[in-house]
Amino acid sequence: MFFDSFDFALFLPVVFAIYWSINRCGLRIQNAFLIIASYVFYAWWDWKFLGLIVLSSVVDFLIAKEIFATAIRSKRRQWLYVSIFVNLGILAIFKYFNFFIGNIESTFSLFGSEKLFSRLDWVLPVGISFYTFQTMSYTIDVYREKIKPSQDVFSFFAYVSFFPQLVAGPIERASNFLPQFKVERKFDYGNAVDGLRQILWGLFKKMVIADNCAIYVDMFFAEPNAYSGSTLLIGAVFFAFQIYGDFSGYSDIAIGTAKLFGFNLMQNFAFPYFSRDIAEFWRRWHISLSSWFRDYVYIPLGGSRVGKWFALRNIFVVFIICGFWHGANWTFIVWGLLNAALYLPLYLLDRNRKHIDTVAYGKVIPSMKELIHMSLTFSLVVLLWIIFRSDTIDDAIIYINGIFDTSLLSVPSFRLMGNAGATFLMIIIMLLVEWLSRQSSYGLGGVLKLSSRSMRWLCYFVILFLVGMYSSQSPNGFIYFQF
Amino acid sequence: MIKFLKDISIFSFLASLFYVALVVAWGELMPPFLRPNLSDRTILDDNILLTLNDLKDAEDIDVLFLGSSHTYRTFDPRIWKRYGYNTFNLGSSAQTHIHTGLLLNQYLEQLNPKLIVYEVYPDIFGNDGVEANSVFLSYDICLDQMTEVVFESQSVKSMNEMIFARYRNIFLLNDTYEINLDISKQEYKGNGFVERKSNVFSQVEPFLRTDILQSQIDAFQNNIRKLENANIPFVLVRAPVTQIEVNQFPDMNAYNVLMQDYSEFIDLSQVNELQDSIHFYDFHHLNQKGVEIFNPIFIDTLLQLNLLKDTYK
Repeated sequence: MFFDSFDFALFLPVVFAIYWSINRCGLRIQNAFLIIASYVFYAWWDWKFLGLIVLSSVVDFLIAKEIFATAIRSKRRQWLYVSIFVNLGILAIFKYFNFFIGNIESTFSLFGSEKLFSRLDWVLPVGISFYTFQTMSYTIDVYREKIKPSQDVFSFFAYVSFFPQLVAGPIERASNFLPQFKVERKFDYGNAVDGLRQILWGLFKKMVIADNCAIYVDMFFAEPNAYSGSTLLIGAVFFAFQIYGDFSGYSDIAIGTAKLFGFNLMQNFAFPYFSRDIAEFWRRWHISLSSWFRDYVYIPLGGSRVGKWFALRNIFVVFIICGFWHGANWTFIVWGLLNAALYLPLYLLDRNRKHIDTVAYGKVIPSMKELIHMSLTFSLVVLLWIIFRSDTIDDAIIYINGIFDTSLLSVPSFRLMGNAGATFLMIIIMLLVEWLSRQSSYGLGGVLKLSSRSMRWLCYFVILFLVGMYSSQSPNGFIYFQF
Repeated sequence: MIKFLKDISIFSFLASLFYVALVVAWGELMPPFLRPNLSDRTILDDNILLTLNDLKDAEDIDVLFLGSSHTYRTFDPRIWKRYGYNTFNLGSSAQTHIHTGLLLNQYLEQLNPKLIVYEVYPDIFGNDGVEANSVFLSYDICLDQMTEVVFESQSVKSMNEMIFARYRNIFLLNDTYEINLDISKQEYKGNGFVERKSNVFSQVEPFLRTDILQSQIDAFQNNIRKLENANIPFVLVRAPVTQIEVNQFPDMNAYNVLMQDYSEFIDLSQVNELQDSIHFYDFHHLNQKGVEIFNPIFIDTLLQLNLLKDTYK
C-alpha cells in the first residue's frame, strides 16, 4: 500500500479511529491492533513475505533474552552472531544472492567456465533492508547493555512492524522507539496537527516533485545518446530532486503518520541540498541510515580514534557498505566509494565538522560564499546521483560523457517541455518553502512562524491545491521501497 | 480529540471550497502549460463538437461504430454511403469500454442501429480512462453519468475536470463557446469521421503496454450483455495497425481467441493491402490513403460473413 494511494487515504483514518477508540482497553490491545494494522499494510503489497518480518521479530526477541540471561561474554557474543547471521542471511538470500552468483560466474568465465549456478527468481521483499537493520540494532544494543530486552512480545512486534516506517524507515533505534510502545499514548492535539502538516508536505514532495521529475528522468536515462548535454544535465538535476522528493517525502509522511498515533520518529532529512560540503550533506541525508552505520559499523571499527590511516579505512568501509546497502549492483558500490573519496579531503584537512550549524542561520538570504559552497556541493551530489541512477557503470559513463559534450551549451530540448516548465516551477516553490523552514525539522515547519491561524490554513489550502493541480498522472512507487 | 475532529471537519470543508474556487480560477485564467491536471476545450480536439452536432439529427442508422480514436479515424461514413449504408461514427479519443457503455446508455435507443461495429484495441483494456474522461467532461458528453466514472477512476485530474465542467455547465458558459479547429492536419467530414491528411509517420516510439484493468473487462462484458439484451447484431473488430505495432504485441493469438469467446470477432490489424510507410500517419492510425483502401475491404468482409446485409432499405 503506497502512502500516496487512495487505499492508504482510506486505511489511515480507519486505523486512526479504531486505534484511539481502543485507547482505554489497555496497552497490549492497542499494540496488538497496531501489529494487525501493520501486517495488513504490508500484506497489501505481498502477504507471502510477512513470514520474513515475523521470523526476524521472533529471532531477535528470543536472542535478546538469551543474551541478557547469560553473563558469559563468549556465549553472549555467540547469540549476537546468530542474530546477525539470520538477519544478514535473509538480506543475503533475497537481496544479494544473484549479485554474488553473477560476479562469481563473471570471474570464472575468465577461465572459460559457463553458467555454474542457477539464479533465484524471487521478488525482493519490500523494506527488507529497513526492518532487518532495525531488529539487528535492538539485539546489538541489548548485547552492549544499552537497553534491556523487551519482556512484552506485543510491544516488540509492534516496534518491528510499525506500518508508517516499516518499508522505508526511518530506521529507528530500539533505545528511542521501543520505550514508546511501553507507555500509554495520549492523544495530543498539537502533535496530531503537526503530523498532518508534515504528511501534507510529504505528499507535495512525492506526488508533485518526485513523480513529475521521474517522467523526464526515466526518459533521459533510458536513452542518453538521444539527448544533448544540456538536456542530460537537466535530467540529472531532475533525478536529484526526484530522489529527494521521493525519499524525504516518504519520510515526512511516515513521521507525520506516526505523530497521529502518538509516536515520535527521528528526523531523516535535514534539508541536505542546502549543505555546504559533502560531510554536511551526509549529516543531513538519510540520517537514520548514516547514523546507524556510524554507531554499528564505524565506531566498532575504531572510528577516528585509531589513527589517521585506520580512520580512513573505516570511512571507506562505511561508505562502501552504505552504497552496497542500497542495492546489489556495482553502481551503488562505486557511488559509495566516490562519496568516501569526496569526504576524504575534508577529513584529512580536519574540516569534516566545519558546517554543523544551519546555513545562513537567522538570515533570509545566504552570503555569496555560502551560495557558492551550496552550489558546488549540490553539483557534486548531482554528478554522483548519475552513477546511483544508472543501471550499469558503463551506462553512467555514457551519461556523464553525454553531459560534458559541446552540446552542453545548447538549448535543452525534449518533448513535453510544457510540463517540464511547471515541474521547474514546483521545484522552485519547494526550495523556497524549505529554505524558509530550514531551521525547523521539516519543510513546512516554517509555516508555524505565521501567527495567524487563517494565514496558516491558507498555506495548507494552497499546497493541497498544488498537489491536486500539479501531481503527476503517472505515479511511481517509492524508490526506496526497493532497498 | 473532539477539538481535533471538529477542526478537521471545518478545515476539510473550507479546503474543499477553496479548492473548487482555485480550480475554476486556474481553468479560466491560466495557460494550458500551467494547469497540467486540467484539460478543457482549449486544449482538446473540438471535432467532437461537430460529431455531437451531427448526432442530434441521427436516427435509425444502418451501422454504428464505437471505440477509440482508431474508430473515428478508420471507419469513414462517406465510403459506406457509396455502398448504400447510412452509418455513424461514435468513436472518441481513448474511449474505454466504460465510456462506450455510457454512450450506449445515452444514444442506443435514438440511433437504433442495425449493426454495431465495436472496435476493440487491446490496450484499451489497460487504459485508466483519464483521457476519455477529459473528453467526456469537457464536451458535456453523458455528464450526468460521469460523476460515478470519475470517482471510480480515482484520478485527481478527472476530479478537477469534473469541477470545471460542472461550473461551466451550471453557468451556461459552453453555450457561447466558439469552435476552434486547426484543419491543417485533419478535418471533420461528417457523421463522426475525422479525416487525417495523408502524411506518413517518420518516428517510431517505444510502445508502453499497461496491465489489464478488471474494471475495463467488467465494463466490456456489460456492454456485450447490453447489446445482446437489446437484440442488436454486433461485431468486434481490431482496426488496422502497422506491422511494427503487431510485432510488439506479446500474444496476438491469445487475445483473438479471447475476443472470439465473446462474439463474432474480426482481426483486421494486419491487412495485406496496407503498408506501414504509406498508409499510416503514426504507427497505429491509418491516414486517409489507408482509410480509402481499408473500408471497402472491411465492407466486403462483413458481407461475406453475412454480418452486413446488401441493403437495409
